[in-house]
Amino acid sequence: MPMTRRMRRGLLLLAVCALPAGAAAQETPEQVVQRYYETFRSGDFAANAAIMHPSALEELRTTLVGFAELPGATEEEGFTEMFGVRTVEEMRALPPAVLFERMLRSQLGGDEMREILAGTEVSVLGHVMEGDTTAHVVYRMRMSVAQQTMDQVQVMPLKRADGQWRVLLTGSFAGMMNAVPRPGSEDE
Amino acid sequence: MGTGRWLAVCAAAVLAAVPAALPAQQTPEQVVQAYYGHYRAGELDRVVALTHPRSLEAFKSSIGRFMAFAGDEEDSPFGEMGDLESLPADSAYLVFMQGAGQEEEEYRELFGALQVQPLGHVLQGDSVAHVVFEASTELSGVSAREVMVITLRRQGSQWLVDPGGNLLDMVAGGMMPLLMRAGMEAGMSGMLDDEEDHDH
Repeated sequence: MPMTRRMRRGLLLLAVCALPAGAAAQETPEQVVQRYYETFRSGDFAANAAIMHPSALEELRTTLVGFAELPGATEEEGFTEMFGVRTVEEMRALPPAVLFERMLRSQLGGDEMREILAGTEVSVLGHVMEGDTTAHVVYRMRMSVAQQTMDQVQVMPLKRADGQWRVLLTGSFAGMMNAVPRPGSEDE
Repeated sequence: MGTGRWLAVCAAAVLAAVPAALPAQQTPEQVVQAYYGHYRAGELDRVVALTHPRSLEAFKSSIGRFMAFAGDEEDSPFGEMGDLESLPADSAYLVFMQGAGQEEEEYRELFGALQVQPLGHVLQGDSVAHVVFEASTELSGVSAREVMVITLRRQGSQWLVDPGGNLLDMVAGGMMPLLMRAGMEAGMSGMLDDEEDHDH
């Protein structure tokens, strides 16, 4: 058998064998959201960043760098502590996932927040599709903060990236990012 | 025509009439469209009619707790605590809504520009549906969009909206995330405009 034909058959066999395994490995939108909250509970912020959609991470980095570029922002107390960099250039050089992970760690890594997140319960209820590529996962979240229990049904958007469902920024979160007070604004 | 045939004709007429007489059951998506349509039009009595009694009762309890805590009855649209307690839950909600946000210009602007497009729903058992919808509005020329979810419960054969007993959720019909986003983005836009003016 000529080499080319054998190679073709071999590749075809490989593809046929690999396809079901690949398909089975793909998580449903519901499973991704469940895993997303498990990373919060366990404090595994790197795993959380890996579940985010690349476009969401890029959008977040653009926003954060935009704030860092405002006059005096990098001199603000907490900037280096939060992002582990001293300048806008260093910040811009960070991969978006690393920047996101550092932001999560600085905001949610404290003992009090870790305790709240560890006790948060999430029940995923199902999803609604918007077109072929966006899934909105509906879930119920129960969280106790300062002896108050919050019990809310929420929705989280996911989009495919390289065949995997990945989490987008919610509109609220994106809005919050747009409205984060500029460093130093209180002094003005 | 004998009695038996008359009975048969009458029975057939009744059977034919019954489906028309019963209100056509709306889907959860249609109820959500109608609910926010009434909000947009300021038809608060119709908003109340589409709100689940469970939410209305929870709202009345929350308001009562708030009044007891705040202890300031002058600003309350209910006057004294006893006035609130004597009102049915749906009337209490209506009185509060008529006296509260509806007079605010920003509130009217936000709800006047509200557009809602349901995307579908997720059922939880037979009697609860969570409707996912895209909502958009405008404030001071700045538009905001948000995909949101609201819960509906069956009451007899009808789906009714259950925004929950949380005061903010009830006042805004579950729209608080969108309203906050619109407010924040409009505020942010204003801040940036001020900065540009200052720079020039």
